[in-house]
Amino acid sequence: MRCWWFCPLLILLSVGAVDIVMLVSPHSVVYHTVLFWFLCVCPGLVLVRFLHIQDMALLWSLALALSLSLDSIIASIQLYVHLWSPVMTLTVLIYFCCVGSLFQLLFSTRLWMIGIATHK
Amino acid sequence: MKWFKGSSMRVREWLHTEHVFFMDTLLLRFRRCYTFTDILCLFLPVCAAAFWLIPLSTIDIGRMNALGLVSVLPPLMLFALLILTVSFCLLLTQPTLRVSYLLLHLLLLIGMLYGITALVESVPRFSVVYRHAGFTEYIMRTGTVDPGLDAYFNWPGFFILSALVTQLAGYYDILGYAAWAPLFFNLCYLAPLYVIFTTATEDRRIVWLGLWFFYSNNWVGQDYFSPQGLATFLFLMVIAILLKYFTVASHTRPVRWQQSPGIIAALRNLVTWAMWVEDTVMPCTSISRSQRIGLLVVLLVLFFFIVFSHPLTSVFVLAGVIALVLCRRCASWYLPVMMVLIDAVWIYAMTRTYLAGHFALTMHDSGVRQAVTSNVSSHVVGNAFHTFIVQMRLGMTLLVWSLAGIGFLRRWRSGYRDVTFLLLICAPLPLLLAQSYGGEMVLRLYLITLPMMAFFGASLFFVRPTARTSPWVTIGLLGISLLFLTGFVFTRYGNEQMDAMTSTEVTGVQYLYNVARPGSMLIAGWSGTPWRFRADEQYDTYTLNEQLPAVVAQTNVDELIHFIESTAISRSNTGAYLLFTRSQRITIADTTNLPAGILARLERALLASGKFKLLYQSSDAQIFVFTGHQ
Repeated sequence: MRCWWFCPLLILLSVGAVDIVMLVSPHSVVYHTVLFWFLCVCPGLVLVRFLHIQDMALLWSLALALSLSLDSIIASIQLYVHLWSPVMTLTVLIYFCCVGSLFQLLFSTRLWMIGIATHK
Repeated sequence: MKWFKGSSMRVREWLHTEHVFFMDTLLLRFRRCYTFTDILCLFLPVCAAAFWLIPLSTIDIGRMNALGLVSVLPPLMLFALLILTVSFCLLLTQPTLRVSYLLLHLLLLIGMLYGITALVESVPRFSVVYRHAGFTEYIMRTGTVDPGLDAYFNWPGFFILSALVTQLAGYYDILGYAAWAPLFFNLCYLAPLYVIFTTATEDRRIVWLGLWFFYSNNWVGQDYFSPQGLATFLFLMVIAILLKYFTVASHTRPVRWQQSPGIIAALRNLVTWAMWVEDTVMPCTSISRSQRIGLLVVLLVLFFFIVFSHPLTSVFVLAGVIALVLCRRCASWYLPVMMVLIDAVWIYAMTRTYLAGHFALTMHDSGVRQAVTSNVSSHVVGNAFHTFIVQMRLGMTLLVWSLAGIGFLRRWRSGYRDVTFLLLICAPLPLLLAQSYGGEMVLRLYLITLPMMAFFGASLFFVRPTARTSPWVTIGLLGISLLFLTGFVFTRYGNEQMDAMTSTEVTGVQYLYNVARPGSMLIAGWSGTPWRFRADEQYDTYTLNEQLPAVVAQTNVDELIHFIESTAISRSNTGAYLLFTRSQRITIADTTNLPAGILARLERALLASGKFKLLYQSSDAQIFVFTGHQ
């Protein structure tokens, strides 16, 4: 991914969209679409970015596979410790995505600033 | 005024000249960028999409006969598939490949082939989907899994995920969206398949044709709302990552052949050959140490998800990874060790309850004879149409495998050594003898090996990367592609009359759950019933062909009454209901040699006995209640 800020920003926007649509219209098609997008892509995309994969096909499919795995693993942990709560799973995933994206943004910004300083 | 007129004339002339120049430049650029074929290959898929969508609303599933979906498909939809195939073949034989066009064609093909049932059928197909809805509903309602209740709860990963998604989306059950699963899963398979194919060749025509062949031959129908549908995607991901980042260049070494006769020596020679023959996989993408560790962790996470979602797919992954490591195609020897550990720990810790009671059954289902009987012979029964579909499936399988074999040999003669793909094909084959998997092992093996088979099949047409393609190759390509698609319509949707469910029968089953109190005995007339999707653990469910086959075959109502009365006493049932549906009648007609109308005869006998009362009747479902103990 050429733009270092694209993926973290996309994840943060998706998190925001899930929160807003969940509050405004929790039974609409928009909510289902945004939720589906978030669960299928965002958690995995946070992790995949750290692997620096250049192949776009592999990057997005891995993001999908990892997202579904993470969703399921987190929900399973809650289920086996008798704390089944889909809303809590979503909250954990949202926090995970926010922390991961902010870390990426801060880290990449620092690298970018160092790059500019070195260039000057 | 004169000045104004002169100026306006000059402006007009200038504008005219500039306009003409601008238009000429635009046209020239357009001509340089797009040939006539390009425009045609953009126009044809748009037409195909329109031809496919327009008659969609006219399809009446109720008029379907034993040949399946093809019997009600309007000719315009078949024509749409034809022109899409022509356009794809035309595009593939152009000197310059347009990736975006090829992708458009492939996406349209996936939509047309795998999205059709979701659009024309009112409820999800396959009776097993309704059982999966029941497992999901159990997790949503109780927030737990009960491994003793059903084998599926020993590998609950997929159902936990579906419960999470369903509950977050605010749905009551999965039935509202489960029909879209085949389309979703097949779209998921696209990217990992692309990556797998690009690890074996630089010729993008083979890659795209391989994808086309994969989707034209994925008729096994394991992509419904099921754990194996998702696990296949994860399997492809694991293989894609391994081939892309973890393969090592093999070094040729003179092979010392075992001269002694016998199967063991032959096998040893084969393994030695596979270990030392030079491979022609694309150079593995170089990665840093941290990337390597990260990818290994990702591989293990994906494998863990496979292990706790679907037992068979994890064995397929293990077989593939072990073969690659043993034959020196993958350097990470510790990967299969860790995978075996994960699988063993899961089986030991989480599935003991199930295996303790079913171990003998699991081991019994093995051997050559069992493999042939369960996987092939037992399917070739039923009426003439069903037998025709089964034979067509066998024929298409043989065709795909034969083409793949010829393609492999042709590549071999041209100097390409695709041993890695060959290993991935051969690795899971011994599983056929180890377990027949209820007669479905051949289907699963077909699906798991299909990517490599499709690749070799595509290689048959493009051996060497050349700019020009001969007309004969184009004609052959078109012929095979059309043959595959024609076969697909029959092989995948040939049993649709049996696989499809109607909203009327689902409504009937819902009515049953509304009236039957928890603790009731629910008896289905035959398998293939869309039921067990609500509070399944609260009812005692039986199917006549499994528990009491003589009741249907000999219309033996007394045996049924005796069974209900004895079971009701021992299990304190609060009532007994019998359920007959359209799908049961079709299943009997398609898969057995019993006479037509045998269920209707049983229904009449039930009423005549005076111990049953008709509680509910619709065109597709009948419910009887047992009144004998009153």
